[in-house]
Amino acid sequence: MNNKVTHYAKYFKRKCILAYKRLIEYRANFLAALLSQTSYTAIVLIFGWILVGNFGEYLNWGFAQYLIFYALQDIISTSRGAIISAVDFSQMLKTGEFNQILTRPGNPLLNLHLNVDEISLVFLGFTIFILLPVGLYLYPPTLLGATYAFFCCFLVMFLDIMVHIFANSFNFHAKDASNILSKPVKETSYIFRSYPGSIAGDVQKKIFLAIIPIYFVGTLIMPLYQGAPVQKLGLQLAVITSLLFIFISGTIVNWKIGLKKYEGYG
Amino acid sequence: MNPYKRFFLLGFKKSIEYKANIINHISIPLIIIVAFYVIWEGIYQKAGPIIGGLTFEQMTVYFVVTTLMHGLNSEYITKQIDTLMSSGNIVNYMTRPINFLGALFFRNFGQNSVNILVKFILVLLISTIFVQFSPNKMHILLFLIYLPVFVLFNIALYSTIGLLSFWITKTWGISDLFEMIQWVLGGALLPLTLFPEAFQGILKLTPFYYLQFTAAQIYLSQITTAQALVSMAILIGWSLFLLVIAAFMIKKGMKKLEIFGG
Repeated sequence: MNNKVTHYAKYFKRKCILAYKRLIEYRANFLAALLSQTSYTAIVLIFGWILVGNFGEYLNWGFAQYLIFYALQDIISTSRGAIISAVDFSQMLKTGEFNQILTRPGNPLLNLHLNVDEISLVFLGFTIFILLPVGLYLYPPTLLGATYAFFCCFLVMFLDIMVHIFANSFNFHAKDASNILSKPVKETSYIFRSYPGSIAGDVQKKIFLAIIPIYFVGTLIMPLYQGAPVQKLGLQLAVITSLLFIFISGTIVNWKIGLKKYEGYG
Repeated sequence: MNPYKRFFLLGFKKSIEYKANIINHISIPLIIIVAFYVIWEGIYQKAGPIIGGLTFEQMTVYFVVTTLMHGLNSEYITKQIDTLMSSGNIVNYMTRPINFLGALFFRNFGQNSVNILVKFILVLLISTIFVQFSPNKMHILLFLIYLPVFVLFNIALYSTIGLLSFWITKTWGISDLFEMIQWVLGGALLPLTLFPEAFQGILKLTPFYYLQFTAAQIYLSQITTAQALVSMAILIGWSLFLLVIAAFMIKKGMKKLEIFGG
């Protein structure tokens, strides 16, 4: 067990190094990515400034809270993007490129998904090293609040990644299935990456939004960070863990069936 | 047959080729509209009956229009050009007696033609049946004319971004940035009437003011016919400007392009 963890830790580290090398090989890519992320952040923060200016009193938020919200959701979304966006599983199955994954030692599911996209790496670095420290400085959390928020952030990030891995696993059964299944979540995430989920009101009535994991940044992580009361904390945690259970078991079943019926030519 | 007509038909056929694409084109905007509805229902409950000059029903129609129009974005063109460059397949365009930009334009316009019609029908159906909003007939017509102009601008914008792949290998970061700009500054995420007036003044100098926000204003009959026509002319002007830049980029880029293999 310990050996496997070490193997995948090394594997992931190697992928990170390769991504970094790709990044410094093409300086223009790095500069373009940095410029895009800076401008992207500026645009979203303009939105946040206008949103808080118009409706901040209903959220009980100022601009600093919005900044923290944006940094946290960006870390979650970009981490998912860095890992998942790097592979086009549907295309790999179609071209037979998946054979290369199968012939590698270890678990094919992990071999496929432990990837790092270099552009997302720039985005992530920008948020972690620039945006988050500014937010933390402007609106420092309590130790307890930060601990709870960190734990839930990790949980939501894992859920966000699992939604896409689960959707990817359907590619074994139908061409481009992941596109149909994960694209709605990805596109709707844009809305909850900008609007805090809590602005929609009653969490219990709107719990169906939980299918978009980023929703929890506004309803769960931010109140924990602020040390404010969390609406239906038990319900939110129960929904996250249930969804995780469904997505993990669904992925395992799909992969077991898919690997049996996979035929690669090329 | 005229080669550009063939490219148009090729794009048209591609758009109806995969069921998954058709399902996505319809289902994703509908899911996003539900998300907006849920969010704004919560906001209206707290903030009162009129926000940014719009009632809840008008706001719902606003997001129906802007979200469905956002689905007409052509950001996939950047990936298309990116792949042509990295695979070296761009050479196929260089050896044919056609203009690369023209081929790109007609193919993508063909690809969006069905989408324009579907989105127009969806806007009409959702706003009249579900929200029970009665749009003015003249403004429906203006809105219908505005949709292809919006697509024209999007093709010009994303082609220009895609052509950056002559110089950089991954353009999706920049394409994502412009998609976000359209969400925020195009009014797809929040009506521009909620922006400070000075900011709106600045936005009027950019093409973004004339995208989803203006289209929704037309459909909601919040601007006059003359204002709608002026907005249309401005957007066409911006599109032509971008196409000129794209043509210049192709001219410069082709000079430094090197393709190996065979």
